[in-house]
Amino acid sequence: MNKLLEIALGLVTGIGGFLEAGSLATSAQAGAAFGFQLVWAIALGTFCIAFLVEMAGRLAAVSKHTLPDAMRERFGIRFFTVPLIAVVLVSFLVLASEIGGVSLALQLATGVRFQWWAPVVALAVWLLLWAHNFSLVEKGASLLGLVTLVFLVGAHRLHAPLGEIASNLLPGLPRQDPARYWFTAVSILGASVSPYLFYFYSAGAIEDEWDEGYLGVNRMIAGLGMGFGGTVAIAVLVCAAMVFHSRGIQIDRYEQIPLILAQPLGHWGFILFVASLGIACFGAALEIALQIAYLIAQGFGWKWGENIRPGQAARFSLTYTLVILLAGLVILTGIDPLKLTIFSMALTALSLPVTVVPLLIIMNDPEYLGENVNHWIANAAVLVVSVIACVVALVAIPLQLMGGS
Amino acid sequence: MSGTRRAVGATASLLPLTASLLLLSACHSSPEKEQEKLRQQLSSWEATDRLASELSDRGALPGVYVRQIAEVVEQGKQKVRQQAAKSSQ
Repeated sequence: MNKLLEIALGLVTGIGGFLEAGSLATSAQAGAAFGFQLVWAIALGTFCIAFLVEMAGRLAAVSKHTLPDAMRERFGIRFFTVPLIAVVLVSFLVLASEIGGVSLALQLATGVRFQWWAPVVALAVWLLLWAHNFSLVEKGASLLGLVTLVFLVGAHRLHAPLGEIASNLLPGLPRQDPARYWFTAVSILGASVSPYLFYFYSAGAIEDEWDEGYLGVNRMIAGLGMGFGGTVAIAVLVCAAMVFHSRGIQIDRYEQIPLILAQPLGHWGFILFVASLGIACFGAALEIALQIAYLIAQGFGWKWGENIRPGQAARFSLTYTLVILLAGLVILTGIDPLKLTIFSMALTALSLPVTVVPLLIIMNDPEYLGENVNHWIANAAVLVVSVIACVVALVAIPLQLMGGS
Repeated sequence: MSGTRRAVGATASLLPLTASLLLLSACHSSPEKEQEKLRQQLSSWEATDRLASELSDRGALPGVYVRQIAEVVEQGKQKVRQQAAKSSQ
């Protein structure tokens, strides 16, 4: 019964925690600009993150190591600083994007400019982490995140053509604007295969004291949770494609996006969009701030844990306090949250090999995993997606910056 | 580890193909293409304006949002006009 509850909660976490500023913005932009053409990018990203989350959970359950812990032990502190810096940098930008997303939701609801909300949002994120335990942070945010299922309702009300959507599940070449097409594709991959998702998951498995008995639960959560989460992201793309693409509307500002739900669902569509954006980004901000602190504390061997009092893990608590403060300051400058989000996601894609290859090496090491080492299919799937995403990002980011067509 | 080696080999063989496809698809932006892009952007903002007005008339959007989207549309159009003026100089 306990395991069933774990699976149910894991699925809720997968669904409610999948959509955040990055996946919402990139899916909506993709749908508006290219119709259903980029459904494959979300499917591919979801496929890859399901493998990565499963690996991170398996590593924690079998070896009792979190990912950073194992990396530092296996490769030494000098090598570990490379993925550490890469993950901390991209996660910091993503954290700023999430704080920007919540602030934008508050702007949409009140009319007060988003940058003035940034300190309030940062303070609320910090207070929740300071005063509450891991379970409340993770499960509370994910339960509320179920509001994002409204995009499925929206897609249904718009009579989404399932056949046409399914026919775009396989990658295809762009029909127009190739530079933008590939840039959007890598941004989607970066949003879906965000390292914070599997780093956070591995820390969560240790906080929840998983053992080898949880391997089945882990597989179910990774496969079904991420699968349902990816479906919600596809629903966002579908709503944007059906409301915006058909009218020739491109998304240049966050403020345009509520229209994709207001069209099929009326007044409630607007309200639920604002709630989805605010809750999904707030949940992600909590998880990313914690994940950065986990990563640094685990990497340097400090005492860490969201279930212990802040005073007992002072350096860990100070780390999340500082990153929240700095991310809040980035948004306070008035930087465009949509542009920040999209570029953060593209940079995440660029950094994937650095974060994924060390994980794959550990996942193939019997000293950590015993007989539970990776199957070659898992290695190939994750490596191919990560390296392709990185190469495409290397070409697409400069082209997009130069305004290529 | 043989699985990882096989995967590295498969990935390495895909890299030149991916890079070539990308470089082939990336082309220089001509003034005509630039004008066409600006025209599309302007028409996108006009379509946003029409959709927002239509939904507002249906009572689907609160007043506080209608004011924001009207401002954003105006800023977007202004930016496109400025870019068009710059590129025609």
